[in-house]
Amino acid sequence: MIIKRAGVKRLRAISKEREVAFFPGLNIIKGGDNEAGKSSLRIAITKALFQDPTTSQRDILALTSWGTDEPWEVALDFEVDGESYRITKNLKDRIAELVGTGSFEFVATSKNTIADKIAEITGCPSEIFFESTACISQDELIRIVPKDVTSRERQNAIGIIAQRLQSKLSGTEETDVVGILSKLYHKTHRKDAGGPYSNLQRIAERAAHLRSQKLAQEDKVKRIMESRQSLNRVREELERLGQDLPAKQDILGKNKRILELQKEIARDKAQYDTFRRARELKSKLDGLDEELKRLACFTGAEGQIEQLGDFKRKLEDIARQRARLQEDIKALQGQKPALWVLLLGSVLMAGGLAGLIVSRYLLGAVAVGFPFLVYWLVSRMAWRKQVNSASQKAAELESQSKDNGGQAGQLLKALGFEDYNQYEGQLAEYRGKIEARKGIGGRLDAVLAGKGWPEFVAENTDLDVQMSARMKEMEQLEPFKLEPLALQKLENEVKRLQQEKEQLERDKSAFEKFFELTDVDTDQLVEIEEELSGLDQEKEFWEIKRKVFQLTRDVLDEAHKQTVSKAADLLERELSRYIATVTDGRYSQVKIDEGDLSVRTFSPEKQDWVDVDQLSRATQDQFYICARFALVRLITQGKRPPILLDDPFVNFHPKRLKKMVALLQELAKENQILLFTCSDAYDYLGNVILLD
Amino acid sequence: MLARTMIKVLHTADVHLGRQFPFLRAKGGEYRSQLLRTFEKIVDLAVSENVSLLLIAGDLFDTNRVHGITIGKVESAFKKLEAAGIRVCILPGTHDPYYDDSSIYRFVRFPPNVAVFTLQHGQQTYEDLNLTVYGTPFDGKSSCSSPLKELTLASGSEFHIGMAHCSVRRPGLIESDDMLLDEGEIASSGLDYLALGHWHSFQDLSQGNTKACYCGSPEPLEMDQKGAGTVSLVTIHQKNNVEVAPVRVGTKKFEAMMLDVSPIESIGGLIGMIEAKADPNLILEVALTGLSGMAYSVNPREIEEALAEQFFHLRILDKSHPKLDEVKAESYPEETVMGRFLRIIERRAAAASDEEEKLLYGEALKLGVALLQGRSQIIE
Repeated sequence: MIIKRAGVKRLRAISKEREVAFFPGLNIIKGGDNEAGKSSLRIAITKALFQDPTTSQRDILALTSWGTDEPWEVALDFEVDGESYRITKNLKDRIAELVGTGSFEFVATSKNTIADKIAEITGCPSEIFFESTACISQDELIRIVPKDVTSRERQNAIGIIAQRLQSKLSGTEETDVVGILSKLYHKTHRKDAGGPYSNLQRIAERAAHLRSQKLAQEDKVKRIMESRQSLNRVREELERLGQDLPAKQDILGKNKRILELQKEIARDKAQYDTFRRARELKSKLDGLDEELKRLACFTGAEGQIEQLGDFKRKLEDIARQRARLQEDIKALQGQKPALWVLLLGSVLMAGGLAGLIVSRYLLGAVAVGFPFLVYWLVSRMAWRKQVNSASQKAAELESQSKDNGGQAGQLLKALGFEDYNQYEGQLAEYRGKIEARKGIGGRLDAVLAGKGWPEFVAENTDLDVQMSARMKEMEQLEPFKLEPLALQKLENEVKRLQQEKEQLERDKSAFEKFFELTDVDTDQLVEIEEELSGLDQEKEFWEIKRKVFQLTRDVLDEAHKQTVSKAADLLERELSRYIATVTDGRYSQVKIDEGDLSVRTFSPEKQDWVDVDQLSRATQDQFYICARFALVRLITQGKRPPILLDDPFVNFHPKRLKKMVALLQELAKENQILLFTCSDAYDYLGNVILLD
Repeated sequence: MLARTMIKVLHTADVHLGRQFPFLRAKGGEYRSQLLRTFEKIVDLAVSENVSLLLIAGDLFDTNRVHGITIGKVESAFKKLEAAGIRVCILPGTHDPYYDDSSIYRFVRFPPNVAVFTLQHGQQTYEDLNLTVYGTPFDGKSSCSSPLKELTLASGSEFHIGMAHCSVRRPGLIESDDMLLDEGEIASSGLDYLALGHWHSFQDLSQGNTKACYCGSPEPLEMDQKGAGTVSLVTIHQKNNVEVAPVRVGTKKFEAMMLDVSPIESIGGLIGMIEAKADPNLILEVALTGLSGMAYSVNPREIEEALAEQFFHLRILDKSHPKLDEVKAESYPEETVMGRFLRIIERRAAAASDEEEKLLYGEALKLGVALLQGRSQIIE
């Protein structure tokens, strides 16, 4: 690769637009002082090749010159294998462009396409790689890999450097062993890598999911099986009951029928007795009616009979009154006032009066005798009145008696009787018969219970036939008859079995409903089990694959490490050759650390290996410049990128410088070298480009 | 004299509805559905042949656990037979035994034309056919008991058919099983036909005047069942004149083959050889043997996926070993990664403790060489 021209705007010290032309071979870019823009130009070239224009990193944007509004822009014209290109990076518009400017048509505006092309052209896959190899600045001299990079970037760069060295050595430059190891690692440890680990994870996740589904399904299937068993048992029980229960129900039914028949027969008998009794009563009734015909005169003569009765009563009453009256009269007779009272009174009075003649005091006898006399007179008058009254009353009673007697006699005749006693006798008989009829009639009515006799007779006509049939039925059922206790037991047993059957029927319906509604299909469980079995087999396959991958990686890693160390040897050999040249053989043995590519050398003074860091600054510079040169040659895959040197020999003694320049001239035959310096020491070498 | 009507009977067994097929992986469900379709095909055959009886001599179901659509379809099939006036005799087998409390036959209520044989109900007489069918299922307790033990033929029937789900004794080979029959018992049974089940390939074991056959599974269930895929159409013309004809109902074939990969130079060649057997109804198991070249990697899964559409199911078992002598460590400088890799592998393989470890190193060598030769696509 040969850089032909660089165009820079607003980058660090190059605040205004600047174009610089370059030549093949060794170019000396000289500036008068440190503000001339030499480092800026070097940085511009690096950025033009590798910088992502879409970056928003502050340290990149900070490369813009002070006092300008817009960020920096760079452009580079270069030639590779006879083809010309121009690359531009515009941070303002965040665009990049790589265009073929010669006969080769090439246009790329995608930053990734441009990066790939630049990597292909320069042999450097990244800016760090380029900086680690083709760019050598003053402050990077003591390291192969820049220090201010991230650990990952460092490892990456070291990895690429080591891999490139190994590929060079092994002749398998297309094989990315680090990449293979990384891939094998990913395949065996990362889920997103699509390898054995990923598949085993997938299998484990799927198996875990299926196992949980299987548990749920097994639970459902278990419930189904248990329900089936239960339903089978219920059905078997129902079948058993279906054979057992009817026989018992039959016996119970027969016994119940026996009891019914007993009641019915008893009722029939009672009914029959009733009917017989009714017939008897009816017969009596009829007999009475017949007899009453003879006493028909009394029928409907209640008024007359009552009248007669009244008369009778009256007559009796009158008779009683007369009898009482007679007694009263008799009593009155006995109450006649006593004559002696009269006599006494009279005597006294007469005496008194007579005595007056004799004595006045005999008036008292008059006084005493007068009341006696008055008393007797009054009593006699009252008595006489009573007697007269009684006598009068007796006469009235006599009249009444005659009167009533007469009327009663007429009534008797009307009824056909001459004699009241006869009448009374027959009336009593009539009444007796009526009373008897009433009694019998009442009893008959009670038996008939409101029904008419014909109806009653009709009802009871077939009673005996009915009874006979029932008796016959009873006879047939008799062998099945159970004792009351046994019957009770049987009844309880049948009831219990009936309830059991009803419960079983309910259970059966519930189970059948359950089976009707359930959507469980054992095929689902079978599919899960099948898949789990398949996953087991697949797991076995991927386990073996993983072991193979891991084994391959382990051995490949070991092999790689051994060859990387060989690659370090290669670098050591190349470096030893260069350093021996520039130090006139003072230092000829070199060791490079595989981890960070730091350098150690055998010190003839100390007779021991020492870190190059312990040597003088100039010697260190010599070592690392030579290491960079060795790296460029070995690992840029023959692309020969330009080597950018930012005044790396500023501390060199002229003698040392001379040897270094000789080495540069040798290298410049194959690589374009841009040496940025403010020294005049290189003017004689030609191709001096002044930046002032 | 009235012409006697011949009796036609269709005999099947070992349908194994609901069976698992883990070795068929994703095709397991489809094959299970196929078993059901083939069973329905048997029912259609019974109707089209106008048989009087369908005998199922055991293992109609693969387990008693079957529940769901399968049962519904079997019930529908039996109803179809009922409508056609065809009776069904089912003998529970070893996979769907009756003695189990959760027996499917205790649970499902088949139409009245179906008779399930149990220890309590060991025979069924069909007066219109002048025929009695006998069957004794396994009781779950005894071992090696004979299904024809205590067989007493019903006096009212002229023809007698037995069903048995058992093995037939083969001295030195088969000496025990749940139920075991001696060939002599067949001859002395007095049966006109003995419908056997339990073995999955068709076999004629007729003895004396008794015709006896294993009808085989209607569809093969394992790799070694070459004689599966049939049912037996039995025609009883008269006493001692019974004809048995196997009728193909199966759709699938199982085949196992071994393929020596030693002469094969590319994976394409290997695929081509297997592809030659392509058949959408074939379940093929290919065991790769011999030494596989270092230039290609044998990935059974990839081969299966590449040919998946051309077989019902293809299973590749890789029993081959890498041809390690194609790559010699001395061909590569020791300072190269390849050279170092080969030398380290060889050293470790030589120190391996067992064959399994050696094989792993062989595979690792093959993989490493392929990767170092830039064929990283083999791990993608």
